Amino acid sequence: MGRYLLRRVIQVPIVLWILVTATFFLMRYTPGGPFDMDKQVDPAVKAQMEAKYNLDKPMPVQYGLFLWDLVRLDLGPSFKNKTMTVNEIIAAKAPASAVLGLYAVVIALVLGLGAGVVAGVRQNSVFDYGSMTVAMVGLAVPTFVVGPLLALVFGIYLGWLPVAGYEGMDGLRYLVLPAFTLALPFAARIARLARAGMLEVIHQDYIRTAWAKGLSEQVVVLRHALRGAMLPVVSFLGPAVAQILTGSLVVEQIFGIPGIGREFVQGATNRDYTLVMGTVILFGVLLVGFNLLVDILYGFLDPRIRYA
Amino acid sequence: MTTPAPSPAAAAGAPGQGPALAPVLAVDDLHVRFRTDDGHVHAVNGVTFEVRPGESLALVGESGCGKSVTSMTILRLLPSPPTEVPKGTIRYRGDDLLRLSNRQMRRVRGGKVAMIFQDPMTSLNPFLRVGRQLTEAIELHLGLRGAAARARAVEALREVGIPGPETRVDAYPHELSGGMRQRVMIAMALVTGPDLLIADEPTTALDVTIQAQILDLMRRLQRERGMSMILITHDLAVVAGMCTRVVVMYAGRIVEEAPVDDLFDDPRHPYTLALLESVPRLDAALGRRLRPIEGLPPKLTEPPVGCSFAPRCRFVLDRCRTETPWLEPDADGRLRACFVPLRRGRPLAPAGGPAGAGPAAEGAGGST
Repeated sequence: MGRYLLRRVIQVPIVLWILVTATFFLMRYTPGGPFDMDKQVDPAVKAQMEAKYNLDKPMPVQYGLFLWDLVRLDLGPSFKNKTMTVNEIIAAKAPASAVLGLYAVVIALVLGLGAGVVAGVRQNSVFDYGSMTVAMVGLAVPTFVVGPLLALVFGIYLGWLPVAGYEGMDGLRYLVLPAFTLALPFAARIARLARAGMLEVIHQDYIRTAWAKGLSEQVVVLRHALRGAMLPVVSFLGPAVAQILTGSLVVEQIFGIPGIGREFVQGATNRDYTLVMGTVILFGVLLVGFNLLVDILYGFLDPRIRYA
Repeated sequence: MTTPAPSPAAAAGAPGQGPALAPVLAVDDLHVRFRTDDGHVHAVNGVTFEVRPGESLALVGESGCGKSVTSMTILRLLPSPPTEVPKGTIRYRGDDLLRLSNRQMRRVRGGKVAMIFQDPMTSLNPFLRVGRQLTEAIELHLGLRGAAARARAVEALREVGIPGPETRVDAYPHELSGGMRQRVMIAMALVTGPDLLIADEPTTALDVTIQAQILDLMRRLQRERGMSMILITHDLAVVAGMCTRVVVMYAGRIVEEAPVDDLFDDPRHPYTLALLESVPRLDAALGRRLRPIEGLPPKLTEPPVGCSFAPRCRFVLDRCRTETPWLEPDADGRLRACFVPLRRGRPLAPAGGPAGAGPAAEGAGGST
């Protein structure tokens, strides 16, 4: 286990380096630069600005300078937001996305696992058909439809919850609708995976053995079946959690959450090289980190897995 | 779970105190069918047998004859759609298991009637330590907890001949060999002290040498405990070594029931005869050829009319195709479901039909 872990941890910077390098060159060679404006800019001014941000240097030099900053965890100044560095932007915007994401993960897990496990155990029941229909809808209807719809019903018609805004971690009322909107497609995926996992496990011989011992259904399902049924869900969770925590442009836009998802998209359209790099790195670190966590968790869930 | 079992166990105690001859289990006219898209599959069609205290009964037949379905139905382990039991009773010490509540049934399962399955590789939970899989049965049926339950688990593993039970109790199933796993299964089934053990092809998935060890172990434990056993198998060699009485099944019906020696010496049903002729025997005359059973067992989607074995039977009579023979004693009091009076592999002169191989004299001259 120790050696496996060490090897996996060593892999992390390599994976991140490949990610960073690919993004760097893709971004730089995309037509248009950060200082190409709608209106004509004086070439001398433009040259001066490019010089300030080292954009006049040959590409390998730019890449080298970027890497050197990166190892010192300096993501550089934003090209568009003159008052803030990328580090500051991430520090300012990521927490809102993370808080929203955290609630969304909890909602997705509770709803998805609950519905999936019960649907699997009671295959072909009304609950099974009902929850799987809801899951299909959750997957098929895009967030930009679900979000405004929820806001309309619960925010405006019923007036139970605020339509938009963000009041930090404690402003739970503000987070309910966006968290649900964000969680829904993930809950649907989790429900379908958990149901499929449950169906596979529940027909195994060892479940029959458990029944033959005289155990109650609750014990058979929770002690004997759940662990095996969880495995596909756990492997889905790695990338899913990283994705949820880094925010969603659509959800943040609809509910006015000052999150990082918005910065990511705006950075890309503005050719704000450093901001894009920063958000890509953030997502990359989370993705690699959660996948590592999932692999470790697998070892705890399934004793047959040996790390060598 | 720790409280002493009320009604069903108490009720079961009363008839059990009677003379030892009262059967532990009595299956009567059991019918089991499965609902499918193409109609019903009639897996078990009127099966009747009983298991007496301390005896080991073999349930024999080829794949799909209904022997496993019968045994699973005893413990109600088949999922209820699609399985239906339209008719019959299964009395365990007087209580009809088919009419117990789920709660009452759970006390019987594992506690009074335990089961061992065919494939030890898949029948143990790969996610749980061996010890846990034993202690959960101990907690449930014996009411022991913690260290006491664990100690009982170690003892149970020792009893089935697992070396180093103190450490093996913490092993996961994948860390044990197939033979060891089947020993664990046996320990798990017997640790609660059941008085009936149903073993469904317990050695089919094992190597021949391991098979012998496991059968020895089961025979020893059964004798020591005076427990009754139903052994389900298609292996006649296993039957000969393990059982006192044999029930032969074909296409969801019992075709013959006999003490084991009678059955091997002088089968009274053509299917039993064919079954015996299809396996090698050390005591057979040299040069005897093995004789396969031609054809296939019938589809069970329609309730069979006439004898199910008729299309494959070499002694078939006209009435076999229209009239269903039921399990009845023949002239010697042997139970078989057949219209042809069979003696030592030859039919006696038929009572009322023109068909038949010949007079009794020929039968006597050409035996074995």
